[in-house]
Amino acid sequence: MKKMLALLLILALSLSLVGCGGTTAQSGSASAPASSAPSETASSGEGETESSGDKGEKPVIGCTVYYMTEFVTLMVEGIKAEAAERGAELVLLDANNDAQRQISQVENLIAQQVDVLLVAAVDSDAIVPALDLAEEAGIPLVGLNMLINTDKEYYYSGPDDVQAGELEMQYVMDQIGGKGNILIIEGPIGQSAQVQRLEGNMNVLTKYPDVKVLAQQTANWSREEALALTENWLQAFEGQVDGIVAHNDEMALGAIQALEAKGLSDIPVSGVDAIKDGCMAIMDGRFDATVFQDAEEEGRLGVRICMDILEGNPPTEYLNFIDMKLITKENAQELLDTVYA
Amino acid sequence: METPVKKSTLFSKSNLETYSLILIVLALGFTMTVLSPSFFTTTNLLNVLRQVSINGILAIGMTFVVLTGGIDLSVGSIVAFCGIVSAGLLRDAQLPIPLVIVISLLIGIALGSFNGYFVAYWNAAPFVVTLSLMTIARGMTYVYSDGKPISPLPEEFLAIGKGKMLGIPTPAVILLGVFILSFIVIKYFRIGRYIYAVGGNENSAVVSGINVRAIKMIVYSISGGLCGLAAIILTSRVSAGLPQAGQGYELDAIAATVIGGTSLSGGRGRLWGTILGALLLGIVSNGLDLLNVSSFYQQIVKGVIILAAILIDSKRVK
Repeated sequence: MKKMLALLLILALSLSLVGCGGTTAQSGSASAPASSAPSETASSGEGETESSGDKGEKPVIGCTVYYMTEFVTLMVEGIKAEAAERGAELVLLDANNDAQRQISQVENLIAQQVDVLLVAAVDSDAIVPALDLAEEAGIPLVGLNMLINTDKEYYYSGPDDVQAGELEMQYVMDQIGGKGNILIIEGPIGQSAQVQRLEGNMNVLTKYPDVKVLAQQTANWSREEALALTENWLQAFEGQVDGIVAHNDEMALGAIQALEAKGLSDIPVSGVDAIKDGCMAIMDGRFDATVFQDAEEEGRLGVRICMDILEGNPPTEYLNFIDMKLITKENAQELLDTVYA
Repeated sequence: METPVKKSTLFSKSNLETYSLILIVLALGFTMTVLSPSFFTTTNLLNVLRQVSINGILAIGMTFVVLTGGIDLSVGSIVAFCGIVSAGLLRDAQLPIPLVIVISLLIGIALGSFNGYFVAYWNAAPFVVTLSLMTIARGMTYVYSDGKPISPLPEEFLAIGKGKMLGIPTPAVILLGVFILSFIVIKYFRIGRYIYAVGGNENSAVVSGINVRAIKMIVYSISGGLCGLAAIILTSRVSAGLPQAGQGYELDAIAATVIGGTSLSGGRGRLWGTILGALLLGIVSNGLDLLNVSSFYQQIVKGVIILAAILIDSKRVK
């Protein structure tokens, strides 16, 4: 019996620890992944551990994101800031790349009676049941960053990924003079970002019949995977590679590491996202071009749409795309000075 | 011959342990209710039931395996493969749903017996064999699907994950059915005692004339089959076959099993405990979501609970 009591104590202890952790996690300070200082003081949620969907109190936004990548962390800062400014409370959950977990999270958010759902989907197909759940519960659902594969109309704030794919491919085409061999490193297959960026890539490629795609494969947004992949490709296609196009900066940076190891740093590499590491690499001359996806603005726009819907003023368009901007050595410093100050 | 299973009097040591676990689960539920007003609502409690079903079913399979002193790390990958094939058959071959469910079960059993065969007849370490199947099955999943998710799936199929029977979520009903069946098998059939015997003392079991190899084959096949069943629920819940599904699910299944009081060295444990373990994990997950706790903290909490359970297990008198 003593031992069971011990277990009980440990449980109670960890829960109370976490209960406090929960409050601090909610009241604006960054938790484990993002160590950046909070620029906003969230007036929401102070002292309340339970995210109450109380009537008459502040509106509550229930948000679930697929995984705290560097990009998503920035987006979340935008979400938190906008929510605080619009006087809304925020419940933020992270699905750890598990689509089934995300469905559970949506169920739990609905059970808490949040006023609106903001969902950055792990998988564009797997999230579809969430739309139905939200509809049944009468809670509006806004998509964020990842499209939802459905015929139904839904509000969305996200990147124009087709444009991003076109911009990054065009850059490499210009660098290699429209002739040669390239490699494409893709995002996770099936995620809307990968599908659309590839579409953009191909839109441009059709104009260049003299360019051959030696290989294309996914590195799942991961720097390490892209590093290993590129190492193997450089081995297999020795001497033939003229350019590399990656669907995001993390993977591009992995590819660059592989190139540098082989003394091939002249080969142009392009990516998407313009994360801080990417911009710094551009300024150092290691990385050539990326496409800026204003993560913070995307998050803010998502919350704006949520609040507009709640205030009875929904946006005129369902799909709200953020404009993408090509970033090279000329304008990378500007980003470092403003967004990443 | 002495039966290796303890006679269950109401206050025997093993029952006390189970009662303590029930107390802990109730205490946890109470704590959550106090901390969050949304916890103790019908909707939420039904959600919890729905959310623990997949892990509960996998954990029951894991319990069978662990009782023989083995372990099954391939659980997540078997779920993924069965799930993706089911999705493919539903979407492309348009086979009727009951047939697809049976096929999923059979594939799960087949993969499970792969494990069972090498553990039983080659005497290979379960850790290594199931680890290898974990990788192989995951690879097979990606090959079959070309890395792409498979959807859309027929509405009737999605009803399995979404629906209710007599007010209880369908997945929970399935879990209940699996539990009752497993309970009956373990308690009232000889094979139950044999399973405990093999885990308790394999040499004695051999000497007593128990077909240890067959028992081992059977438990791994059961685990695989239950993966096939869980895969149906999972696939229906996310309305798509996902090649990356089920990642890490073996850890949750092991956690539920260990928390429930089943000893990793085999020969001791109860299915009841496993269900309570799964419930405990589910309540923690659900409750922490309601309390807006980030997944990173949730992972730490889960780890602490598992550690506590293992420490208690190691201190038990053998």
